[in-house]
Amino acid sequence: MSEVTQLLRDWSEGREGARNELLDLVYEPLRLIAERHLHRERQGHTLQPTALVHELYLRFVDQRRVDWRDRTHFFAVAAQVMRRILVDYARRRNSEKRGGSMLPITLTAALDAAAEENFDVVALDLALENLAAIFPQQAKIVELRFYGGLTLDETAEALGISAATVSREWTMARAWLRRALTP
Amino acid sequence: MDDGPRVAAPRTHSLNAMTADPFWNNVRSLFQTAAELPRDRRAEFLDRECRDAAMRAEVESLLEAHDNAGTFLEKSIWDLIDANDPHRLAGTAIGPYRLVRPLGHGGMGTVFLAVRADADFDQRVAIKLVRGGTELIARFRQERQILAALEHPNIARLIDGGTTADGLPYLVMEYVDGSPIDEYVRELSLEERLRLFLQLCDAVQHAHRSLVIHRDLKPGNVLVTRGGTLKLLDFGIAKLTSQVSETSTRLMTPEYASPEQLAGLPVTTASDVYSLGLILRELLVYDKLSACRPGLSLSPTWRACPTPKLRGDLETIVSTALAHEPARRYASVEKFADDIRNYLAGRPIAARPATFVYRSSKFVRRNKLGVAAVIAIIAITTIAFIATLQQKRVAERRFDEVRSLAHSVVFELHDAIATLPGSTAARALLVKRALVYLDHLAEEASDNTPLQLELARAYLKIGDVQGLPYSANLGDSTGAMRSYRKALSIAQGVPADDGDASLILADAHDHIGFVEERALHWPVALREHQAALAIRSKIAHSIEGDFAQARTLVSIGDCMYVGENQIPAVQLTPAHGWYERSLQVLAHIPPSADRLRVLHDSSRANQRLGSFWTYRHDLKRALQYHDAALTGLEECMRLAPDDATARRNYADQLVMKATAQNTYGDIDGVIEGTQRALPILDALAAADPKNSEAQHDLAFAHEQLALGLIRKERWSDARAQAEQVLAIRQKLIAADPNNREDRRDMMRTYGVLIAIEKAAGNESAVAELEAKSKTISREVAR
Repeated sequence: MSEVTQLLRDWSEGREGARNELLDLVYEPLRLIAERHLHRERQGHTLQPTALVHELYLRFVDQRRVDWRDRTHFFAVAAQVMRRILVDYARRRNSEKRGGSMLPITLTAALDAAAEENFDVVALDLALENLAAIFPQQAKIVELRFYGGLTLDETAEALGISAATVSREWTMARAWLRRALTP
Repeated sequence: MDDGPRVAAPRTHSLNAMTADPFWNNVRSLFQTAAELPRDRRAEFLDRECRDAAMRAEVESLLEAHDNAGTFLEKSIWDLIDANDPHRLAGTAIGPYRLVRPLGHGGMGTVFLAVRADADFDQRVAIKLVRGGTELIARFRQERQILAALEHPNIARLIDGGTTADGLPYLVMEYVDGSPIDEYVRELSLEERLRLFLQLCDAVQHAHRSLVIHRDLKPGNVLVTRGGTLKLLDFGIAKLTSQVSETSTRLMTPEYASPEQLAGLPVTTASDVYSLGLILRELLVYDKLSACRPGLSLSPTWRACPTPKLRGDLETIVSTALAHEPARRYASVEKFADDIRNYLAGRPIAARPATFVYRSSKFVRRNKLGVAAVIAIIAITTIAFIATLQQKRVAERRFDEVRSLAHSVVFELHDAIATLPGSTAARALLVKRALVYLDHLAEEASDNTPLQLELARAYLKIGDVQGLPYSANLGDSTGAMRSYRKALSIAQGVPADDGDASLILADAHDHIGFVEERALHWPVALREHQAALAIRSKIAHSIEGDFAQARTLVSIGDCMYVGENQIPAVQLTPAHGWYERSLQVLAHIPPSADRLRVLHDSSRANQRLGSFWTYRHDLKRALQYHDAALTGLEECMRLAPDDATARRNYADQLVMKATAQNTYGDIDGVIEGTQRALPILDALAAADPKNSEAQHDLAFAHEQLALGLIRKERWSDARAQAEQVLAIRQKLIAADPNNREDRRDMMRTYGVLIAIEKAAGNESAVAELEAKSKTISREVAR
C-alpha cells in the first residue's frame, strides 16, 4: 500500500494529523504541476494555480482507492482528474452567472480557447472514450499530453514506451479525434 | 471461497499499441505508414496494400482528418488556460486604450476596465474583447448606424470598435460604475423597485422603437449607479455576435432566456418582454436579508420587510410577461410598463389571469382553507372532466382538451396544493383520477412521444404520492414501486435520444432508489442512483437536471454512509465527498432559479454532513454543518410561511441536531431542541393523519428526547416518551407491513425502553421487551 493510500485510509478513519500529512504529500506535486504550466511567465500570480490545485486536490481525495505507484503514475492520474474537472465544468457552464470565483474564469478561458480551435470539451471527452475502446494506448497518450501537459518524452517515460511510438500513436489519435469532432 | 474485494490494477502499465481487433490494427498500420508518405503517393500505396473497401474508406477519412488537423490539440489544456488567462492582458494597449483589469467574463468574451492612454484626463471605458472573428467587426460597422440611434440616458453607449494587434476584435463601451440591479434593490421599497424597473422598460422600449432587440437582458447587464441612474449594457451586442457564431443560444444567459430563444426559434421583442418579466420577478421576491433575520421576529424591522411572495396584480403582471407563448405576453414593453404604472396608481391592470387552473390554484393559495378547499377543487375538476368529455364530440378536439386538462391537474393543480398540510390523500385522488384519462389516451396514441412521456411523468407523480420516502406520502411502498416501474418502462419505450425521456428515466431510477433506501436495500439503491447519475450526466445541462443531480449525489452519499456495511468495499467511497459534491452542484444554480429550493436542498446536504461528522466523532464540524442546515431551513420557513414541508424540515433539523448533541452530551441542547420541534411535528401529524412521514418524524423526535432524558436519569419522563414512540411505530408497521425500516426503528425503540427499565430495575419488563425485540429482529432479517 502506498503512503498516500495509507494516509487516506487513516484520514477517513479519523486519525488526527493524517489530513495534513496527506495535504503535504499530495498538494505539493499538484501545485508544482499547476505552477509549472501556469506560472511560467509571471511573477506573483499564484491565485489561479492555487484554485485549480484545490479543485484537483479534492478530486484526488475522491480517488482514494487508486494506488499511486510512482511519480509518473501520479502525473497520469492528475491528467485524468484534469480531464474530469474540465468536462464537469463544461457541462455546468451554462448555469454560470457572472464569473465570480477565480477558478471558473480560468476554466472558462480554457473552454473558450477550445471553442476557438473549434472543438467542444465534452465532445472531445466522448470521442476519447470511443477511441479508448479500440486503442486504449492512444487515448492514454492524448490524456497525458492534452490534459496532463506532458511533453512527448515525458509521455514516453510515463508509459514506458519509446518517444517514436508516442509520436506515431499521437498522430493517429489526433486524426481520429479531429474526424470525430468534425461535424 | 471468498477472497475479498479486489481493487482494479491501474491500466496505465498494461497498455499496448495494438488492439484485439485485426480490422483496426490494419487500419492503424496502414494509416501510420500512409501518413508519413507524400500525399500524392498515398493512393498508390493503398492500392497495393489495402484490398478491403471498408478499411480503405476508414484509412482515407483518417488521412483527410490528419491533413486538416492543423494545430488541433497541439496546445495542452494548461497552455490554453495560460494563454487565455484574462489577468495576463492587464496593462496591454488596445488602440488608444490601456487595459486595467478584467471586470467580468462571459460567453462573448472578457470585459476589461480600460483608460484612454492619450487623454489628459482619466477617461474610463469598458472594453469587451469579443470572440467571434473579424467578421464581427465588419458586422459592427454595418450596424453602427443603428446602434448610434440608441442614444438614451439609460443605455450605455457603444463608443468604438476595432481589432487588436493580435487580430482579436474589441468593442469600446461607456464604463458604468454601478451595481447590478438585483444587488442594488436590496435596500429599496417595493415602490422604489418598481420605479427603477420602469427606467429599464424605458430603455428597452426606446431600443425596440429603433428596431433593436437586446436578447440578453439579465440583472448583470443592468447596472445602477450610486446616483440611482439605471444603465443598460450590451445593447445590440448579442445580435452582433449571434450573427457570426453558430447559434445565439450559445452566447446568451440561459436562465434569463425566453422559451423561444432556448428552442432556437426567431427572437422578437416578445423575448425581451419575457426576460424583463424574469428580472421583475427577481427584483420583487428579493427580500432584505440583513434586516429580516428570523431571530428578530418581534422587532419592527421584521414587520417592515416586504413579503417575499408575489400576490395579486403583481403576480398577474409577472405571469403575463412570462407566458410561455410569445403571443400571450404583453404585446410590447410599453404595455408591460403601463400595467406597472396602473398598479402603482392603484388602477385596475390590463392583464387578466386566464386559465381555469390558474384561477383555482390561486384560489387555494389565497384561501388557506386546507383540505376543504382541496376537496372543492376536486369536485370542480371532476365536473370539468365530464363536461369536456360530453361537449367535445369531435374526436381530436376531445383528445387535446382532455389531455390538457389532465396535464393541468397532474402538474399544476397537484403542485399548487402539495404544500398544504392535510392534502396527501386529496393529491392521491386527484392524480389517480387524471391518470385514468391519461392512460386511456396513451393507449389510443402509443406512438405519440410527448403523450407517452407525460404519462410516464404522471406515473412518477402518483408513485410519489403513494410512497416517496422523505415527502408527504401514503406509506404504500409497494404501490409506489409499481408506479415507478411503469414510468420506467414507458420512458424506456421512447427513443433513447430524447432528452426529456432521459430525465424521466433518471428520475424513475432515483425514485426507485429512494424506496429501496427505505427498505434498507442499500446496494440496490446505490445501483439505481448511479444509473440516474450516469443518465443525467450524458444529457444537456438544465437547472432542473442540476437539482435532480444534487439530490442523487446526496442519495449516493447516503448509501455510502448508512449502507456502509452492505456496499462492497470496491464500490465504497467516502460519503462526505458525495455530499460536498451535491453542495457544489447547488452552489452553481443561480439563486434566481429557485432560491427556496436551493436553500432547502443545500440544507439537506448540510444536514447529512452534520450527521456524517457526528458519526465520525468530529463534533465541531458536525455542529457547523447542522447549524448551517438549521439557518437555511429557518429561512425557507420564513420565505414560505404556508409551506408545511418547510415547517417539517425545520423541525426535523432541530431533531437531527439533537442527535449530534446526544452524541457528545449536550443534553440541555437536546431537550431544548426537541421540545421546540415536537409541537410543530405534532401539529403537522394531526393536520395530515394519513401522512406516514409525519408519524416517522414524530416518533424520531420523541425518541431523541427520550435518549436525552435517560442521560439526565429522568426515568419516568424518558419512559413516557419512549412509549409514545412505540405506539406510533406499531401503527406504522401495521399500515405498511413490507417496510423494513419501520421494524429496524422498532428494534431501536425496544432498545431504548430496555435501557430505561434496566436502570429502573424492572426485571420482568426487561424480559418481556427483550422477547418482543427478538421477534422483530427475526422479521428484519427475513
